[in-house]
Amino acid sequence: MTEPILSIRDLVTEFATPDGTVHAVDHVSYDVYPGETLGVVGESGSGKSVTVMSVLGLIPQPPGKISNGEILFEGRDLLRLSNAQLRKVRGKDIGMVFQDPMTSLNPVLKVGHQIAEAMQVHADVPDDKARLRTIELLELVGVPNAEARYDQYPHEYSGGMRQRGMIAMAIANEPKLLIADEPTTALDVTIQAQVLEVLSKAKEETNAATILITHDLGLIAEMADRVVVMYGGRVVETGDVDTIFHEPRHPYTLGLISSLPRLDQDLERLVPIEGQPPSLINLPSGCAFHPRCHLGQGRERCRTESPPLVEVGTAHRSACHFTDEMGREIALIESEMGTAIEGVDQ
Amino acid sequence: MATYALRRVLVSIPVVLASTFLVFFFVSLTGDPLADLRAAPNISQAQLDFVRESRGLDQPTAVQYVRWLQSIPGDGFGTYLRNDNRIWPDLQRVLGNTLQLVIAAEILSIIVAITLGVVSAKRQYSFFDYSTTTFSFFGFSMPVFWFALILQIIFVNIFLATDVRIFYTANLSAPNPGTGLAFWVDRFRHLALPIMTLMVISVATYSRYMRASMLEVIHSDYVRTARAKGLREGTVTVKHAMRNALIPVVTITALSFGTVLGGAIVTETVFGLDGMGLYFIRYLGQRDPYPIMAWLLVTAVAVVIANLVADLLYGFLDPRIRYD
Repeated sequence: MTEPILSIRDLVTEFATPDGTVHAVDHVSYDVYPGETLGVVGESGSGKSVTVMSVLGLIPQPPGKISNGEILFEGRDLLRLSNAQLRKVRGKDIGMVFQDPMTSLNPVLKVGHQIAEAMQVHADVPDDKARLRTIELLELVGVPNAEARYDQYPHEYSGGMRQRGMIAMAIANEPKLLIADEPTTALDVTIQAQVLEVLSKAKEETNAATILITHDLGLIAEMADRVVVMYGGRVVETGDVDTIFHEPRHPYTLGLISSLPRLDQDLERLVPIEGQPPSLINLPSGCAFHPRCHLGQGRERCRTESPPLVEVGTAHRSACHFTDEMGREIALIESEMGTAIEGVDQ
Repeated sequence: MATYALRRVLVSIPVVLASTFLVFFFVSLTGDPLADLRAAPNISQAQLDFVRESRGLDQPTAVQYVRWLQSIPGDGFGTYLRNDNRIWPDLQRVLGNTLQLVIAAEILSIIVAITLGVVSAKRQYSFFDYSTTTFSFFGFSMPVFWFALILQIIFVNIFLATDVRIFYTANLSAPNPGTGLAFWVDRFRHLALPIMTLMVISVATYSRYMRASMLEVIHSDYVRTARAKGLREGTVTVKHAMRNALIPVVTITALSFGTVLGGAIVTETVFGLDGMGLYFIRYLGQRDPYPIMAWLLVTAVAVVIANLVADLLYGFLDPRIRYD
């Protein structure tokens, strides 16, 4: 297999708060390979955003602190770079699209200028060239009338247009890695599809590896090659997108899939995951998912022993003590839902 | 923008008129402007009657007000009640002096306060931040007259101890200030202490606003975006954060500029500066309505202009604000 372009190893990111230390990212490891799209799914607070913020060094310190691990980007540990060196990686080798386009653009600067600025900070591009290139980028991401739009301010753009602008900014330097942190969460459903199309196009254009962070499994099914499932600041399952959807080997992943509403099948009812996401200050002992787990049923081992992430198939890993019981669990859920899990990704 | 400015100027005319009427009314309520003259032994009843009639003081207040208003276009602000000296040249002189004091103090305050505010916000809860906060509370709480007196004492003592005069502690100029550069150096050495006095409270206020505004902005998403682009921290702070954080602060400084143009009464009194504030207090004590009204009109116009400038600056700094 080829070398990963980004390799996160044993990353721990914590935040000091008045109520105690928040263990936002707890010994997370995953790889991103050149050209692939890696989907990272999980509930709010599962640590998926904090992980990529740590990659770019965008964690406010204090209160944040990266206390362990390494983040290898093309063989260099980003955590060991000086600020000046890290700055050369940000926006140039790694482009980032943020969640909320309404607040992610500076309201007092022209959109075109903000995109051109991303280019000019990394290369000595004269203003007129930067302008032309920006207009090209705006056209690429489907902003109509790009020439005039260059000189407009963010408030003159709609939400979808702003996100297109953000994507243009992220790919301005043809990054090797593109990180999209819930790029469609803040948008209307109709606009979501358009923005995803733009994102795919941007990815094709630059051939960048992409990390797509979302809690939308539909999006994962459509866009991702591989999937990382996170829960309570830990990775609980990774694998190919097909494997994850067809043969999930972690009860949390199964829970996510079976709580997904479906248009193409006549479901009797959805199966929710009972309970609340865990508090990151006081994570449950043992497996963080055990209080909500259908499979564990409060077994001793789940409560006391934190399950390691182990190989359960080809390039498929899961952090569950009872992966061998997952087959029966799937059958059980299927009978409850009155349909098959199979074919969720269609 | 021009239409907006013109409309604002037109709208302010009734505001200024209403304020002059109110003040005229209240000043005439404070008592008989001729009371002091009446007490003087060498003034006859005939002289008093002459002044009263020629000035229309026997008329109702409203009529007096209209008379005053009518006199402005042809007669400037007329003469003082007790002598035939003209008001306008005096007012021009004190306005000029106050402008020198206030402009210097405001510009320096803004520069210092923005720097303090930005650095405090960037290093929130650091030693520097706590020091600035402490300084601000001192600045707010300190009585201006007390601080001014302390400055005078300090600099007088420095002079007595070392025989080196750094700054003067009273008046605007030396008896023979010279001309050209020598004049301005002398003026600066006289104004330095009043400027420091005015700066203490302005810096305390503005730096708190700047800090709060900056704190809000540096945690915003677009500042994170700017950082994610790989911009230098300095560029992120100045270009992306400060520009947004300045918007509310500019409004406050522009508004307070208009207000202090009326004169820093306490400061000018302590340092014996021939400015707007001292002028106002002097004629208020003499119950002479005419210089007070002239002073008020100038001050009211200054406030109106400052408001207008604040609004226009707001639109200039924030493209989301449109004037049409």
